Amino acid sequence: MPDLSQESRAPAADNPRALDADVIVIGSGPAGMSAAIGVAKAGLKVIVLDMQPTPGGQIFRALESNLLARPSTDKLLNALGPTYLAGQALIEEFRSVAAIDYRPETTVWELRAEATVGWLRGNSAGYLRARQVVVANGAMERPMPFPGWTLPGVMTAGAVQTLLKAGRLQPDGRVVLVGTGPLILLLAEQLRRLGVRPSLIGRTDTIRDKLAAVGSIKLSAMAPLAKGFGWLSRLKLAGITMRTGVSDLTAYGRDKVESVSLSVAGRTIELPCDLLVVHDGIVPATDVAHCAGLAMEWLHDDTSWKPKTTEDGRAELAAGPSLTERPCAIWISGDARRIGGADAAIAHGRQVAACIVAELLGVSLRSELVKGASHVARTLSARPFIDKAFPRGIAAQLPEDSTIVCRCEELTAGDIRSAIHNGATDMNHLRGIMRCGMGPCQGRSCAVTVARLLAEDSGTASPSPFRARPPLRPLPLVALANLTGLDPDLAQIVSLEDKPVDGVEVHAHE
Amino acid sequence: MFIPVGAVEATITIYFNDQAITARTGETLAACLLRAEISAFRTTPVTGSARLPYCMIGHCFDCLVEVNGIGNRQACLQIVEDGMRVTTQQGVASIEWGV
Amino acid sequence: MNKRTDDVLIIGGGLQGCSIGLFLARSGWKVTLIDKGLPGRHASGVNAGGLRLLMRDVREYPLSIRAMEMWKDLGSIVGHEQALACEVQLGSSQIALALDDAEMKWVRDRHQKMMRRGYTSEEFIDAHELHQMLPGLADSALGGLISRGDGHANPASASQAFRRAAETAGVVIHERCAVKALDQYSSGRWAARTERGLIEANWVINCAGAWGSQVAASLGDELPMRVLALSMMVTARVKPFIEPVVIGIDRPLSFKQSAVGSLVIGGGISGKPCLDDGTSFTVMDRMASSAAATLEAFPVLAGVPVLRTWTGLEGATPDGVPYIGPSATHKGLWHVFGFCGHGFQLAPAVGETVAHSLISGSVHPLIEPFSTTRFTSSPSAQLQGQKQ
Repeated sequence: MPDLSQESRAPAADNPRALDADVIVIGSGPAGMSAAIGVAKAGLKVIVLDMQPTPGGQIFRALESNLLARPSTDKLLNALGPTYLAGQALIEEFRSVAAIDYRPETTVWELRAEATVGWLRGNSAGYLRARQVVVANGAMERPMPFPGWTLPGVMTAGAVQTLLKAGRLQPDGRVVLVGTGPLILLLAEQLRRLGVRPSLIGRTDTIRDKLAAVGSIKLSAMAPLAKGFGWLSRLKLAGITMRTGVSDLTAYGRDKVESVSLSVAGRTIELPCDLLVVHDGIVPATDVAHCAGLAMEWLHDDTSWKPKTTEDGRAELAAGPSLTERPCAIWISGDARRIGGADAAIAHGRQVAACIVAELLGVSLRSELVKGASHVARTLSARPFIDKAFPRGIAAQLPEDSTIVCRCEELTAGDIRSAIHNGATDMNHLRGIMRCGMGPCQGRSCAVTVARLLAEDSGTASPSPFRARPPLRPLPLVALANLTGLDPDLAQIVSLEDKPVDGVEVHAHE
Repeated sequence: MFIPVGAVEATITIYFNDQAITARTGETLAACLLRAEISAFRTTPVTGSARLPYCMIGHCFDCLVEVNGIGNRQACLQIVEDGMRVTTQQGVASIEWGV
Repeated sequence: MNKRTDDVLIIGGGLQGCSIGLFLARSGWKVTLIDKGLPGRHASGVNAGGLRLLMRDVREYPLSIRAMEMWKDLGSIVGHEQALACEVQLGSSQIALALDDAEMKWVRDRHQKMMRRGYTSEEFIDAHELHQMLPGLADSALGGLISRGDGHANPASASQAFRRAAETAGVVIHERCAVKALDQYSSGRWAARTERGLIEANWVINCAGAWGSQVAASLGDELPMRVLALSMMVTARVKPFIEPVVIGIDRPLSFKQSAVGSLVIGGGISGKPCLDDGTSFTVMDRMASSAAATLEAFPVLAGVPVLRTWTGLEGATPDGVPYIGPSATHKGLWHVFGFCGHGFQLAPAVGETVAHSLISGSVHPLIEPFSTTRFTSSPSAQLQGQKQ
């Protein structure tokens, strides 16, 4: 249970462990905004940190500026559709709550379970402290290594959507879409509205997947289902070639993608390509949660990690020692907790806010929390169907030996397998000898695959991520040198000097 | 690979490898460079292979460029500024002397 | 496990333990080495890999000089191919920088002291030559000390190389094999109860690193030691610009540029050690001071980002030099630990001298300064080691 006593908010000079806020929210996507609004409206002080320059996360990225730029962005907004525009009210409300201290272009490079956050903005960095932290840093694309995936011109569906929203750019030339999941279908429909006609939409999912998923359909899933059918029929009407059950994707080219090949209905087809858009579902971005020493669980069917939380989103520490031994004060919400989409994120963010308010203000919000929980459950009810209807595709098989697994250090599956064969037995050992996970991305793109390759060899039921130490993201030396908000208990320098102890003349034999 | 959706209000200028490129206030460097049809943002330190953005959300670190002499900047998170000087990150980043 | 009576049981498979095992085995002794985890995974594998005479406590100098000769000839110790993998670089220099008057005074005093003792490898270097050797060095650098023959190697590879050489020479190594209890029979022979059964030996050598003091205490030997979680950070790769390793005097400054171009920055800062779990935490609050020291010396590095940090468990004695010597309370027991973050370079010579001591029956002169009883008040009961 977190300490409910009122901690002093005296300025740092008087009280070195002063809190900067009651709550820090990491991420200003739908979950983060919703949580911040809920907490601020109850009178608590909240700081929201986000890497982007404007709020909205990925799903509502650049919505504000696109709305402001109307009518020149009308064509774009019509193409992006109602799911994008739906974020307007939330963003406006987020902006309107004066008590929210929103800090954009701010990167989080450390999270401590006691609710301390290491932040970086430009060349300034420091620590912020609160009584609770909400981690709402969203999802990332599932890493899906295949031959040629590092070529210029190969991008994720999310990347193309971001270029639409934030870049106001649409694909041009010979475009091929390959993968599975609602996002790639939504993207295809958005592109269709802009007149972009991919040469092929190659879906790895099959009719059989859909039939197997039928048993998981709930009534509340009908609306998203209907939407999906709508996209599919419009794509079909437009005469855009779509194939299901594709596999064996390969991208070819020297300095950029020039062609792709895949297996379709037992035949290999090859087509010229200027832009290959791939997608194999999204998975929680676990870097921040893992850094804080929070308990993670490996989802075997999904081959991804997610943080262990209660339904309300309360996280727990993993077993073992922790840096400060203070109680865990972390909540996780939105796609960072489990993939659920915008509506689920908004509902859950509100739920987390209510839980935090109940705790910090000592009020009972029992009926609100019960209603909130069932609302969250409703927003997540389509997930079982979606997960079954769009199972992992390209990422389902482990890559061939010649396929790059670690994009940063350009290590192939064969390199990793060979190190495992030579006796490397755990993630950190592998990283130490092979450098996989040591590049700028610190394992974000390769950890899942490396873990699966280890499991392939040793049959481990639950692989663990690379040991995470701060900084989570690159931290300029000048920012570190001038770090603010140091913990007075921790900042005592404990060190060894290279300079020898002076004037000591000890004789072994007295 | 990418063309604008509608008109582009490009009122500022950045430089990529000394080539002047018009840019829209508030856009990411990555979007600006892709619109300008730049073929590689960086070459990798291990094999010298060309890379362009892959994820556009700050996770893959493939979009690294050197901005005003400082290397390892993610173009997908960097917002353009008038007069910004950007260069390809060739393999490893360089250190700008005399700054 | 087969029950055999060994000559020596070594506790701890880090660099020191493997080095000692290697030299003993080469002399025909039967050696078993046990490690509670994977050998070389703690301080041995994650230090900065410095090969330096520079700035050493004068008590370590003769041992370090001998070790340097051995690093130069590493192939004959661990085999040619293994030696190559260790990436030994000598002659690239280590430089200690004086950034203010107090440090400059210390430099001059040190230089004189060392010259008086006949050690000439540490040369005084003036600001002009410093700036020539170190591009980007701050104007505030006043001078320093340079040890031109110094350099660095790859610690993880070196740990593995010594381990493999030890095994090739006949040392039996058991991984993931912790000592549960250690008893000595009246005959003087030792019996170690381990996770893999009983091991008997005539000698026990405690090379348990950060756990060394704990192991010693369990046998009644008080060898005071602090446990530290020495932290390092590594930056993004930058174009090669600096060859020597640079260390500080009073400031927590220590860095080198790795073979792949990243800067490896140390400075002796400790994070939080968790000895019982064998883990440690980086404390970024403290790393700020080593970043600041790096930038004070090389302001041009301001924009270079730190990509990650790591920490390793290490032990530090009260006077900054290790324990290498026989136990005061037990026959047939040696303690070799507490290297204060700079044991890497010494390891080959530690192996050679400890092995020699056991075989000859008396403590080798090069390791006499590292008595295990130097902090106890009673006169040391120096036991003559004997092969039994």
